[in-house]
Amino acid sequence: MKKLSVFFSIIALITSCATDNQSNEALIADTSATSSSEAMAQLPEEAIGEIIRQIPAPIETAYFIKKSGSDYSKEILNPADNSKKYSTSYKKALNLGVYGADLGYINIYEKNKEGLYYLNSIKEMADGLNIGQFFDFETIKRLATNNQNIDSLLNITTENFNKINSFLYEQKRAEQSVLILTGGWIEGLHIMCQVALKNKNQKLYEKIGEQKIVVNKLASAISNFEGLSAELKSLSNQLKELQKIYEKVEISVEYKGSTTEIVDGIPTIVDKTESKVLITEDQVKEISNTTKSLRDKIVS
Amino acid sequence: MKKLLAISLVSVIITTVIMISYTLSFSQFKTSDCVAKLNGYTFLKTYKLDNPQKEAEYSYVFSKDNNYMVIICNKDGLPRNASVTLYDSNRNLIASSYDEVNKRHYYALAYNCKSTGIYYMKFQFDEPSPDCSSVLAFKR
Repeated sequence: MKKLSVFFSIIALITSCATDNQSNEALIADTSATSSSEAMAQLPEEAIGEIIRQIPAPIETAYFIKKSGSDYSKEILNPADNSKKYSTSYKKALNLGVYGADLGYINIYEKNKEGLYYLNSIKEMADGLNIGQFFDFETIKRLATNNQNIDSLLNITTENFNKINSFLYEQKRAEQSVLILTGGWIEGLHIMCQVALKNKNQKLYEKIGEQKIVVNKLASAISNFEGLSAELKSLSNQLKELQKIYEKVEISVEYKGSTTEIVDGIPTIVDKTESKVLITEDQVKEISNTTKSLRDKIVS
Repeated sequence: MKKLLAISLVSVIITTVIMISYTLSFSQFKTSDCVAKLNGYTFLKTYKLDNPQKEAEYSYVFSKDNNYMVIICNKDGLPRNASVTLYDSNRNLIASSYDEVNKRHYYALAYNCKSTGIYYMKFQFDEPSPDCSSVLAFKR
């Protein structure tokens, strides 16, 4: 009878390992973050999850920058070597986002060899946060050395970041997920501001203005965790400062309805509704300065 | 008795290995297979639709002047009983991948966004579909 109960215990143990793969991953998660984030949460957990899913991928920002016709500028990015400076989970999470945005920018311009240095920095940050297992470094490295695989490279890189965000959220480490997204967004905005002001590009000014929607979401998410540490409180205050500057930016929407056509076998929406962004160059400069100061603290 | 226990353990281990392989291959399939259907679009987000219910909703900040596509996939490829409906930030209906006139489901919906804002994607199924996922992508 004793042997039989041992046998069933073994079955139960093995089966639980097989059906819940993520429970293994949970074991290596930073459990200290779990209790604290649960204790401090003000927004419902689902609302934080929704914000995490809503924030645009930095690759879109990189795409708009390239589409504006501006040249690649390595100097704007956070040097890959800086990764050695980041020792805390807070800094690692923020700079994982920063390097992710930088890699997106590098990949869009197809500077793949440059991207390999940033990939190493990403690996360093991700391993430091115990989430390196979600990054398929070998495949990305292989794709990065072959310029013809740019679509696959972009897809797999973004997909890996999504997996990280989903995992952190599911493991109750939402504040780290929000930090990664914030780092990525700040870096994207910083690059866009630098390029827009250098080229006096009105189209990019509008794109900067449109970020009003995102800053409101991120400020709300970060403020939810501001009681966890002095660093988070400071970051939250800076985002609120940026949010205040964005209050002056006006976005108007004129509703005109939409129609649907079948194009190549897929329903395609032709939307007549249009939004307009009212933003001045001085406002862009103000946003740029505040973003730069925020970003300097992140990458220092 | 020892021999019986050893045989039982070996069979349990073999079954477990098969289950793990299946779980891993299936979870990998769901995203990568959907991404493989993007055809000229760049991946942005994956949405889990594996909850055995008839409805799921996700939101995302769409950017003006970007062309987006939402694709629904399942383990058999492209489902014929699922649709996605797009709403703007004020919950105004924009369009659906379900053609009500011809009672036809399309597996994807493309959108040339003209107004930056939060958009809601509501996924609906004629019957519970536990093995679905969706991918949002944009055209470069």
